[in-house]
Amino acid sequence: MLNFLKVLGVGKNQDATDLLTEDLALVEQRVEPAKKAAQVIYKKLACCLQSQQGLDADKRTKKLPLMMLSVSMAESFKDFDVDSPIRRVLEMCCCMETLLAKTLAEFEVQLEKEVLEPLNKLSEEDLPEILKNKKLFAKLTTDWHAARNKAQASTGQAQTKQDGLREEVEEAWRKLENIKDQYSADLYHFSSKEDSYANYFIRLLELQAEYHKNSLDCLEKNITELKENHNQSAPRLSGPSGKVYGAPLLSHLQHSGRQIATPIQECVTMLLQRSLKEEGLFRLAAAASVVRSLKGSLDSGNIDHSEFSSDPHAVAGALKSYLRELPEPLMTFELYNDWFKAAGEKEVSDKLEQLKVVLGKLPPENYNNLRYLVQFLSCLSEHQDVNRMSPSNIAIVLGPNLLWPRTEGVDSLLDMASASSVQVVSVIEPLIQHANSLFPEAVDFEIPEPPAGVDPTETKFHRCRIGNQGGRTIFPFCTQPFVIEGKI
Amino acid sequence: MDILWQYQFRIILLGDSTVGKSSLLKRFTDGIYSDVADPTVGVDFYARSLEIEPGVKIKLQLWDTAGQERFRSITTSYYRNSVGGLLVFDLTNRKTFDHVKEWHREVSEHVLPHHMVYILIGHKSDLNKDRKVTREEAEDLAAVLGVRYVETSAKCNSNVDRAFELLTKDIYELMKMGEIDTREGWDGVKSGLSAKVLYPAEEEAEREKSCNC
Repeated sequence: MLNFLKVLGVGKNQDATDLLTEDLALVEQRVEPAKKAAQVIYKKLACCLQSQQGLDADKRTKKLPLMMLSVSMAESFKDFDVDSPIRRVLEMCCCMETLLAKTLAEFEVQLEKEVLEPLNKLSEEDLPEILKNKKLFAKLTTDWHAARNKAQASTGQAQTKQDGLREEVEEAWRKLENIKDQYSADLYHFSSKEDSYANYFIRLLELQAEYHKNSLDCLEKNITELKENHNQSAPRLSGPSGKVYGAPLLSHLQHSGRQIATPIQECVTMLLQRSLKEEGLFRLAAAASVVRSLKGSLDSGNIDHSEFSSDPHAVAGALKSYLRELPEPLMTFELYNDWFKAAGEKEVSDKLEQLKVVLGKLPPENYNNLRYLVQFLSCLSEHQDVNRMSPSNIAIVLGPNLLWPRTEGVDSLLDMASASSVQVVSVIEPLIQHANSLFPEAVDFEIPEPPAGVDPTETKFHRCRIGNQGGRTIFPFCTQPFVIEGKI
Repeated sequence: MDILWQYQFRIILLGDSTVGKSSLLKRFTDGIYSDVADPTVGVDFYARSLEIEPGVKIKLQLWDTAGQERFRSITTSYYRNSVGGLLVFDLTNRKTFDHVKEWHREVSEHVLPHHMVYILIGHKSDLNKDRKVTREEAEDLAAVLGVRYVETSAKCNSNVDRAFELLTKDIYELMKMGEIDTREGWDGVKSGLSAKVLYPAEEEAEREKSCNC
């Protein structure tokens, strides 16, 4: 109609939008897209929901697929006897899936309240109201144009007729003005609310982030607990106390009231007794069954030294395996990069300086156990002529058990392949080589008997500064070659 | 529908949130007051007519906004399409008084090269014991801005009608003096169509407008 009038060449014709101020005309163009966006996003977002809209969190939880999973787990574990590790893990999983389902249901309730409902109101109530006025505005504009054209065409007709038409024009104009004000108010309103409409989408992301975080927190917390319980329960058949292999260093030390972890101290003690000269110690594999049995003993705390001292490779294997099974390497994840940086120094003096710095950053428990172990390894390497385990060789076989990167993500897998197994030697070797200066503390392991057949030529190069007095080594700062005297 | 008015003035209420703009408006247009009021959301307008002198009826179209909201793209047209503004502050809240200058400046800048007719309103005069702004200070500010000052209370219905009447009269006088005129595409002042218009010149313009020939 409007176009038709324009075609007729009626001067200064305005369509509805022309009557609006420029900035309101701009705002007007956003209303329709806003409605479309709210409509389609509401629909798609509702599709993302796993629970039924409109229900409370409890009712939603019950119908979630996760809840079905949890129920199946509950039904499944009933068929196991109470001691079955599968049952114990399933019980825990069942609880966790329920928790996850609840978290999801709460998230979806909130999402519905804070995002879906406002979007729906926007697309179904608020914006249609504005668009209704827009339509009315357009219609009344048309009416006014029509009335005006009719009046114009009436020139030359009876005055009364002309006056009547004039009144009609005025009436149409008045109606048009009214709706124009109302519609303008709508547009001002819309414009002032645009920010808060945009906020619905920010809120969506915030809620999603919160939901994922809650789920992750719940999972992480429980997985650690589950793993600890699970690892603890595995060797239960062989002993009552458990919680050594695979347990965090700190919790084991606290639990047992020790300074040095059981496997480290016990294995070192056993190895010191008669295995320092064993060729390929830590390099050669032992019978898996013996290692397993020893690990069981260490886990349970009942260790018969005489049973295992005769099999040094099993002892070394059990020690290696303890180090590798720690949830965090003895030299920690956190300092992973620091170690390599320090070991990368060209000058030996700089390298030692930096290694000392990193050592100083270790938690006291880790430092103490590492010191104990490295001092022993240093001692072991004194016998490299016989056992062929030079600091470098020891570093190659033991390094990867002392330091590895966090195994998360693809990057760290690459790290694992390249850095950890090869480069780790560059870190461990100097530690062993320079144990004396890096670890000024006295060696605190007992040497039950002097290594057999130590001859004077050998002791010349003996860098161990081990003196023994009443079972404790002394002379911590002795720089002279020193003969191990053994127990006095 | 009340169409028996000669002129329509569009007037906006300005001031921080919680100074009582909506209460003032409700009292003036509906004659009621409520102690509990929700914050204004977005934009709305109300109307009331005043007989400014015998036979001259003015329809006031009063636009209310949420004080904490600032429009982005549309501030200019919102302010420009008004002829008068009530600068409202809360007598018991010093900050709202301090902000009056900013409101005045913001609006005045937007309506340039035109001018807006203001009145300064010290609101909530019933809470005299909690007053943080003296009458003298407010009158000084009014003098600086070159506007009238009235203290009102929507709660006690004190001076509310008077405040709107004073502003309306000021605008009307400026119109009579030719300082303010209806303009094409401007919603600040509109002439009534059904009643006979005051000035012949005005009528001529009106006829032109409705014919557009």
